[in-house]
Amino acid sequence: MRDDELERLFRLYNAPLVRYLTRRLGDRDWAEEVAQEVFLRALRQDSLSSERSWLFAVATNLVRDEARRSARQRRHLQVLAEQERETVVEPPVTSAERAQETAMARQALDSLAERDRFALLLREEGLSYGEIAAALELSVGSVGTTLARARRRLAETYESLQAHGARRAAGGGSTHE
Amino acid sequence: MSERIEHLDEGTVHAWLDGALAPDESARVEVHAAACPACAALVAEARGLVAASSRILASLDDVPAGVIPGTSGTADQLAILRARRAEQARRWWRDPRYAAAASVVFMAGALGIYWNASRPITAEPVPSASAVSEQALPAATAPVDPTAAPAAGATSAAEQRQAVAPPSRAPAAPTLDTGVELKAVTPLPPPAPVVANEAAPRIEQAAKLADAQRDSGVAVGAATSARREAAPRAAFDALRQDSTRVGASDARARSVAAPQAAMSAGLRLRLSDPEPCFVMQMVQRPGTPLGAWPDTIRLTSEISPVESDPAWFRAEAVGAARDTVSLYWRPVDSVTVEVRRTLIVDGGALRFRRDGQLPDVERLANVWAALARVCR
Repeated sequence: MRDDELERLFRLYNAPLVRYLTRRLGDRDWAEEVAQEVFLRALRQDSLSSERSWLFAVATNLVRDEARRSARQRRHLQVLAEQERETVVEPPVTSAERAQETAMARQALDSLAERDRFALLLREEGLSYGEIAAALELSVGSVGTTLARARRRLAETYESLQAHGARRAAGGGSTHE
Repeated sequence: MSERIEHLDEGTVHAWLDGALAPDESARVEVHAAACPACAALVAEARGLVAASSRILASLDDVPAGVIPGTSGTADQLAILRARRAEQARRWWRDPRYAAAASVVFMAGALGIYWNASRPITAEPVPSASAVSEQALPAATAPVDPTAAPAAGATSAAEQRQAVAPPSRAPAAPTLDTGVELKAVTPLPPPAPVVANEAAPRIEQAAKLADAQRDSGVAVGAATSARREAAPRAAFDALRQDSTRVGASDARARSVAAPQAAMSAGLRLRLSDPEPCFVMQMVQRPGTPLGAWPDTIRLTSEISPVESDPAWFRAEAVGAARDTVSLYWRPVDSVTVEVRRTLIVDGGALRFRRDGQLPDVERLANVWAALARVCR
């Protein structure tokens, strides 16, 4: 693959890939590494038909494998990353409220079934139903119901987390005065 | 005169909102939603869900980054990518794929020499790839004949399939594929000293092709497809070589106790005809009930159409389920293949391993293990 082709692919797809992966993994550095790996694999191809679907399929595949690694290993990496952050970079100022929203969103997303989660994240990156079907080995006809289910579950879980949090904030988490 | 109204289902509504419906169907939905209050409410709800989901997911973008200064942003990432690409091209021989190929060929050769030279069968297991160790596959250290095939005939257990195989198998003469080969993509421990002479030129040839491909940036189409097609054949050969050499020492087989696990669902794996049969041990990861898998799986040398990873090839269901199931397989190492129903989501995988070691059922808490006999 020529370098100008690589650059074209990169400029088009790196940002959406990183966003997709960040949402899935919760860690941007990790997401960027995986995105790099996706492009390195793309380099081995002579050409890509249906580029977007191919790239996202590979990304999904890689993340699926990542998720299988021991949770301990990932936590270790996270701890390292956090330590790095403390010493190297100051994180952007995030209000407590925004941090809480992020945490709830993550929990809500994690409550989805794996396939539903991937389908929804791919849709958010603008992939068409055909591309989603190709990336996830679904039939095109089932993408709609998959997304419907995913969206409903995400919203309902988020809502219940919100309500629970509000209840706790109001009543201190206990049922008595 | 009352029409039968087809109300909208959720999936259709979302597909409509996402612009995924064909024009005529889209028009139908629009017309119906305008006329039917119940479905209009459904549409309104769906709109809300679509918007809410986007909003919720957007808050996941709020993640700190840039731990290492100068690595975030497209320009930086592109520079890093280019550097990695250049690095890879320079050090092709360290690329895991080639290292694995070299290792596998050397090991297969080494094993062959071993079997031919020393008759007594103390099962020296083929070193398994580190990737396999994550599975609770039994460490094959007990003195067990790697092919339980003939031994099975001696057991009393009612393993029906074992009766099918002839007690002594004449190994078929392997026809070695002499094309360019790239084998298992799993990195293996450092290769043993070169034993098989034919290995070296193959690796060199493979490397030269890949080098040419990279440097010129031009698709060396024929070579590439030959390389990719050669990979499953090479995997077949590796498996076949092992089995035929081991088969040659069938006469010395010792009896082996039948597996305790009564999970003999009889899942069979066979290579493209006509391949000799050899005993495969199936270890299944949890996630998919065994019933969802076809009864017999045949490996082909066809590249997977998804092409999400060049290492995956198509497998086929043999029998009734043939047209409805798509399967993929890849060699994990010289004695193990993995079969999946899908490459993307985790639907569970089957791993077949060619050795006769019976699983220690007690240790395999989460997996089902069974002996599957592959028959001619």
